[in-house]
Amino acid sequence: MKIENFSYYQKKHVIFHDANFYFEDGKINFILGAKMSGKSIILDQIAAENSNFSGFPKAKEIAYLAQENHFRIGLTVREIIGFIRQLSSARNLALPSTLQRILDIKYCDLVFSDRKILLVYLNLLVDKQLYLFDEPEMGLSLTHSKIIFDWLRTLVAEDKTVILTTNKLDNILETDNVNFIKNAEEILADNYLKIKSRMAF
Amino acid sequence: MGRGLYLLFENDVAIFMIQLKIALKEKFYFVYTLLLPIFMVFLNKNLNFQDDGSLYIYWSYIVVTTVFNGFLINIIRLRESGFFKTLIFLVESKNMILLSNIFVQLIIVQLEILLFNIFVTLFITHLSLITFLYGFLTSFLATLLSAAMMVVLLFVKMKQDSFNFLIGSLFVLGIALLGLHPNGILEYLLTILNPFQMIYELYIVHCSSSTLKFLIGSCTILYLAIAGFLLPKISINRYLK
Repeated sequence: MKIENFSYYQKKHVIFHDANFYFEDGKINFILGAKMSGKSIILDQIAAENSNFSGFPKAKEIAYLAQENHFRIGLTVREIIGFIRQLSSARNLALPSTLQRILDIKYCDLVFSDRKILLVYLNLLVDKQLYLFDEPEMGLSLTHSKIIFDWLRTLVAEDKTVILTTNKLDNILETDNVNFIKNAEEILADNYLKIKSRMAF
Repeated sequence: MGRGLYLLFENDVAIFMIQLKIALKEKFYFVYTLLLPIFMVFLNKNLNFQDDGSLYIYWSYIVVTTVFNGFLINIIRLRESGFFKTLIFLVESKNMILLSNIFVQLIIVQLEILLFNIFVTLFITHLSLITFLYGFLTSFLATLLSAAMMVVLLFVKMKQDSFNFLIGSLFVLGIALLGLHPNGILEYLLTILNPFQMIYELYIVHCSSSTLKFLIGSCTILYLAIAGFLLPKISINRYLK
């Protein structure tokens, strides 16, 4: 899967100019970059219905967790999970112990970390080819972000492809594919070990 | 056959049921979409209630405020929170989320109009079965038309605070202008622009002049066509800054 010669402008501000991104099937692919560097724009473009990038599945085969989900819903965690399980694309996935203790709490009453973990789990519950996560570990402690990344790596074990954005290095393994946004034109794409040696993080 | 049909619309049924459940849990909204008009009709019970015309103002209020909160505000909140995007990819259809939301409003409006009519017939004045039936049938179109008139607001791009002020002002102004009982050109103008007035005129259409009937018919078709064209084009990303 690749995005080549991609340009994107917001008013007169150049976000990307002739930028290239490369993603590997069946792996975790990170889009790494500073805040406001345009990471979410790449995910939006991949997920767009009229996306004409090479090798990406159609929108119906994509799960996409947006960065912010502040919607107040009076439903409990049990009701929300029950709803996703009714969908035709739902997978038979065991309920993790992290979520069992909050099953009867309303979504609007959840603490931030539980809400984020629930949202990631809901996206794992549907069977898709490609999973997009926009900064899934944002605002979470290391413990919580480790739970999320353990789940994401189980997806890869099932030969699914994951693309996620981040501005942190904590959860990237040396073998993971990384697209590092150096600037609007230069994207370094390789495994993390090689990116690290070039960038001296 | 039934099971096959269910499987065909599995996602549609699930998204409709969850939206209905969410709507019924938002009890606070019923305070001003249902309890407030009941309170108002109770306060005005000594006024002339000889014809159903007095009733239609309350029906209009119920329909427009319910659609305003349940459809317009709900979709905007959903989109601006980022949850709209996540939900669309989970259920695989943006249109289904929007359509099921409108279906939910149809159910809620019918329930509210029914409860309101029961209250009026028990405590204020007897309403005939014909009135109940008329309210039931007309409210389907009234709900759709009300939603159609608001669709354009889903495309407004401005600062969040300005937008909140804009829709708040339109809402209050709409109710205030309905209470004016306008005549002549002003009535025609407000029928075109003010959802409260349009829905009221729709309910009372059988008593209207031919010109007004023609205006209501044309506007109904036009608004529904515009909404049908615009609604699938709504962005899943934030509009408000």
